[in-house]
Amino acid sequence: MVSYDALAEGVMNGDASVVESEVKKALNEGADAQDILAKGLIGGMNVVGERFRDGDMFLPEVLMSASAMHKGLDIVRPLLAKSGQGLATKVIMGTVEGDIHDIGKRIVGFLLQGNGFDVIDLGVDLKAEVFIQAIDEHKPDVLGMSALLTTTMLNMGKVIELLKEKGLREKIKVMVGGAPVSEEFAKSIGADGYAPEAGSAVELVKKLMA
Amino acid sequence: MIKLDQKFHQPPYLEILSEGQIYAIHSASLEILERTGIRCNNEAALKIFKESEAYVEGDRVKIPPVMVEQALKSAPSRILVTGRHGNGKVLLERNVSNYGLGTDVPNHIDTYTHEIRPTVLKDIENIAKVVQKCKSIDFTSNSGLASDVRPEMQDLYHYKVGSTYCDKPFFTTAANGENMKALIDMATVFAGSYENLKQAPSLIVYGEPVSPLSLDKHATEVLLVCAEYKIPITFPPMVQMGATGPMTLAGGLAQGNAETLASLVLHQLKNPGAPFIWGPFVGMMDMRTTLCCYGGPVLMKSQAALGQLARFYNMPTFGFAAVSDSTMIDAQCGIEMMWSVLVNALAGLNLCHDVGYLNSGLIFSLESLLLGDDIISAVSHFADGIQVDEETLALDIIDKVGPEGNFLSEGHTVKFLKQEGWYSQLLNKKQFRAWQVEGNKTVNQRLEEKAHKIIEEDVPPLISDDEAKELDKIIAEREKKLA
Repeated sequence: MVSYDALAEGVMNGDASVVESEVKKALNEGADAQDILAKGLIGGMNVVGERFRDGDMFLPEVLMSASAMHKGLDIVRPLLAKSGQGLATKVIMGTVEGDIHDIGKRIVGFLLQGNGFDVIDLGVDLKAEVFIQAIDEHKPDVLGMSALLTTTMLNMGKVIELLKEKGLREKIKVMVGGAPVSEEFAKSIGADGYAPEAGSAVELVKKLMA
Repeated sequence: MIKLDQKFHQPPYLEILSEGQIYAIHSASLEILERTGIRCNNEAALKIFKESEAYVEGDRVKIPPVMVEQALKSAPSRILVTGRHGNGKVLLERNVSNYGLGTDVPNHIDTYTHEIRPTVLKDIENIAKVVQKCKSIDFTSNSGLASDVRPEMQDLYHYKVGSTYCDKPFFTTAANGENMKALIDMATVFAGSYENLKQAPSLIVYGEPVSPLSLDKHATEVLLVCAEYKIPITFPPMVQMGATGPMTLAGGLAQGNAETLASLVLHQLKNPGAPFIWGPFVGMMDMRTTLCCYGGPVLMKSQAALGQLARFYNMPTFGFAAVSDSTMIDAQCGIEMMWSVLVNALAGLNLCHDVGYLNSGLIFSLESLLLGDDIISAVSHFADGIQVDEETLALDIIDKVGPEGNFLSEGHTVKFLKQEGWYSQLLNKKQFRAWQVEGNKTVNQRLEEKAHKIIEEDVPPLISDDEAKELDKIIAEREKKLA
């Protein structure tokens, strides 16, 4: 019986070398790549998530755990792809046109990655067309948009309009965030969801994909 | 306002850094500007940098120390801002702490329903009315982002409504250069001409670079317009330690200072001698919740350092006073607001703003503003120090009253009663039985009662019909341009 305790522990401690060696050890013992992912890597991150929610772990520690987890994920990813098992939800993130604030969006991205989601961060000051291009190319499940200014947040509505125009709106879930954004604003522009901060953003993505 | 160290007696003065440490931080900032530089996302600004002695490669600008020295030399160390009608004076100079409001708070605690809801224009009107009655508030602002007006025009509506009910110096933001010009035009309606406004500004402007090390397009536009028209502007970066700056306070100060100095250099290149208020926000991000903390010892230490660095540069500085991370007026709010006001005075900060800010600037309320006003009055009394002279030593009175006498009906007591004591407008100073007889009122209840009394009173507008028409014209013109 393969035990995933040491692997999960390595993830919780943010120890990349332990994670890598435990993943290799498990594979040598004949473990299934999907089990390594679910029980070891994601299992460890779930505990990290709980500890973070309870205020027992700090964000930079969470990011270290996520980084260690990803080192393990890199090893099993080709095996998962081979067995035809798709990876988790793909999320595209970006700060809208005219706005270069991105720390909040980055934190959301890191936490999503930590939860095993595939995150592509397009950066800042993004024209609506750039979002569309990336969505066309990567075919993500979720689009996350961020803005810090009441003037730039209006561009979120423009992106959603463009998605409708191009017939892409139904194929993607759209979530928005940032200090001036609210539930009401999100509804008014036709977004699928709003989260006030990073922790709840992760929950929102899980809910949207359920 | 509070004036420190200007009477013959010596009030307390807070120093957290040694002279050597101050210089080390300054030197570190110079290295950041020379070695890493900043990214400039504004074309006009990039052009100015290119034509100067800065080293420009693409959008990366590296600034040699001599340019910083020149900018510090040409920038004024004294900025006077007066309210329209001469009401209210903000003297931004060494050892003078001016307290006032902050800008752009998206949510407001409804004074009647207690609901935390989006700010509306009516709130900004109410805030103005309350500020006008606050004895310890030197300058006003919107302290709100009206959600019921067009976002691209918010600054203009805020200024009109705010000015209608308050004539203290007005602290404002501007979405971009064009809005800034419109605001200057609006202020000129009161001043009479650009020259008058330049000579006696009634506006102070707020903008910011983006940490780490970035000048964004629109904020930089505003910086350049203010330089051109000589409207006092403060341009503080918001460094969140461990997120948009290093986790260590020294490094955070070095980076924040570098970002501020880079902005100052650009500002002075545009118009040497134009008024600029220095001072970065360097505070912690709570790594358990990601909140940018306005309360707590880290920002307090940071502000203590700001005072010393400002005096090293001989520049007026920015400060954060009567602010809290709490979502309501409670013990946390009291604790955090109190010491932020105190530290601003002890550190000698000058534009001490954001009075009344709750939850890291996400929420505002009339009550938190009134509480801040009371706290400032207490700290003002503290900063006045102790007057020691023949009259205050009172030897003749002590001898006259003698053993087992009392001082209550002495002329000396009546004479010094108000200046030597401090009388709160809001805190409880009754013994509990008397307090019970009065109805067990809490501070929160008293704050609300005071807020309601002020906003329910019918007050005449402080602008004439003609002035209002002129302001509306400027707003309409801007609306047309945006259409």
